[in-house]
Amino acid sequence: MISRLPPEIVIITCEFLSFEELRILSRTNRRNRNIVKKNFPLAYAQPFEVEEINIETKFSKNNEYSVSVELNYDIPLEFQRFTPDDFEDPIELVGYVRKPEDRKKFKAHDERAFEVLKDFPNDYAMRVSMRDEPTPWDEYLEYYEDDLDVNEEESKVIMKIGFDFINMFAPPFTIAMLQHPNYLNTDWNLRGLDAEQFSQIPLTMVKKLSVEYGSMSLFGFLENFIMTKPAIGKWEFRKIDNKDDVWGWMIAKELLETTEDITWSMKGSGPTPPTMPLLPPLFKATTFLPLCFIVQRVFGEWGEFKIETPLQKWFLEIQHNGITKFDMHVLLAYSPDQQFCSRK
Amino acid sequence: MAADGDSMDRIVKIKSKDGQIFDVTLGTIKKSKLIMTMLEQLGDSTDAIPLPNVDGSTLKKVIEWLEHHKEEPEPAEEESDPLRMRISTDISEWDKTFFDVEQSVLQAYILAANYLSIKPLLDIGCKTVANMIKGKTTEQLRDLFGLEDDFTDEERAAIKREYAWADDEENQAAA
Repeated sequence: MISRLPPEIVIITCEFLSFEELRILSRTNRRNRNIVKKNFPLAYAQPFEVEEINIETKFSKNNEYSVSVELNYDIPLEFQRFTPDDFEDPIELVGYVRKPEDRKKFKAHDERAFEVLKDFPNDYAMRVSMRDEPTPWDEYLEYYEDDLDVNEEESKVIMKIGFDFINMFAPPFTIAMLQHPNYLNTDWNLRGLDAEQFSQIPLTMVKKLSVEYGSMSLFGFLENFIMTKPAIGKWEFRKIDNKDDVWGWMIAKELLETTEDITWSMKGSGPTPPTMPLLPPLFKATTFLPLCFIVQRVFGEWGEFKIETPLQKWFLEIQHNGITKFDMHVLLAYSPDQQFCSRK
Repeated sequence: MAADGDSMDRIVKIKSKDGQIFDVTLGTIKKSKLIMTMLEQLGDSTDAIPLPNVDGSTLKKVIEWLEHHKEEPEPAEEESDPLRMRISTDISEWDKTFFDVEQSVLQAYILAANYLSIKPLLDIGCKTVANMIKGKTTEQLRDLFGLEDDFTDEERAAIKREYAWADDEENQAAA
């Protein structure tokens, strides 16, 4: 039947197959081989292992990113650099290529890793090399375009399956990435989340997340946090700006006190918090300094919450430096006996 | 042509290559870009639209599929998901049953969907074929689709070289 389908329909069918399945199909006969080889050249590429990907924003130049891909850290490395000048958002790619004798050994991992690289988000278009010997990127592209008839657009690759570890400046589609089922087990290290993105973190299923720098509304974050059942392994947020200034602390506490169906307790370096009325913003300007004092009195230098909802139980620790900056650690309490991570 | 409101109830006549004429509402047939284009060109004509590439029995089933899916929204032209992907081969139970047919019939459905430019039907047909391919060895695929191994010895040697890094396990893994 497949031999009587026109090539354009076989190509659509192939788009639903993995690289391995494409290679198996391509070995059935000459026609299928030609279709796969011409339209899915990456299926023929030797896969390699990606240990880690780091995407750095180049602050000196708008819309430029540096992408480093660590393909295998425990073997001698050759590394290659390529800066395409024809992309809208140019990137620099640093890649490490595995020695041929190691390819077999890491085949399963490589396959999975390569699936990732073939589908990288459009904003971070990149190319990868699969040749046995380290090759300058320009030579590699010549090989690709001449031999396999792949144009530049097609050789862009888009992220598809998750990495073990991703380190990057938070892009606009951060929440979409965190919600994506392929990234549930990824260990995320992000920088620069804004308050809107932070508030949506509890709605994602991300398990391991650390964020350095960014701005958070405590109220926005906690509101979603206590309503959902985040699948937390460990979340660590460092050097976070408190978007709401002093009001963030007060309103967050008010939120916990007034939310039904949860129990919570707090201990900290300061005294037991008194009952605080929720003050209207009108008083903000005139009462800022006294409230700074109150926050210090209420929370001390750090506070450790234990929040329990009908769905889950968490430990949530906030270490703050004044009012405007804080660190937050969140840990799911798997058992009543489990202790919160130690404070430094 | 306006394609909203009462116009969705308008009856359109379509004619298969073996001369069978089917009356379908515009709301049912609207997923076919070919027919919508032809309707625009024909204006108010009430003549049956000839479909010389689709036989009556296939067209009847295509109409049945369109009727079942007519309330479903049109798929977006462009994916808005930045992590767009086309790896899901999930098919609804209804569609699985619909496509649980002989290969020749499945082929007719897919070709009809392609000719009539009904993308969702074409995609599901291709997914069905992809699901038939998944998990099979090269030899099993040849048997399944009646494919002849037409490689020359030189081509076989070249394939073996290309797959030196994967050759041992790939077929066995899929078995």
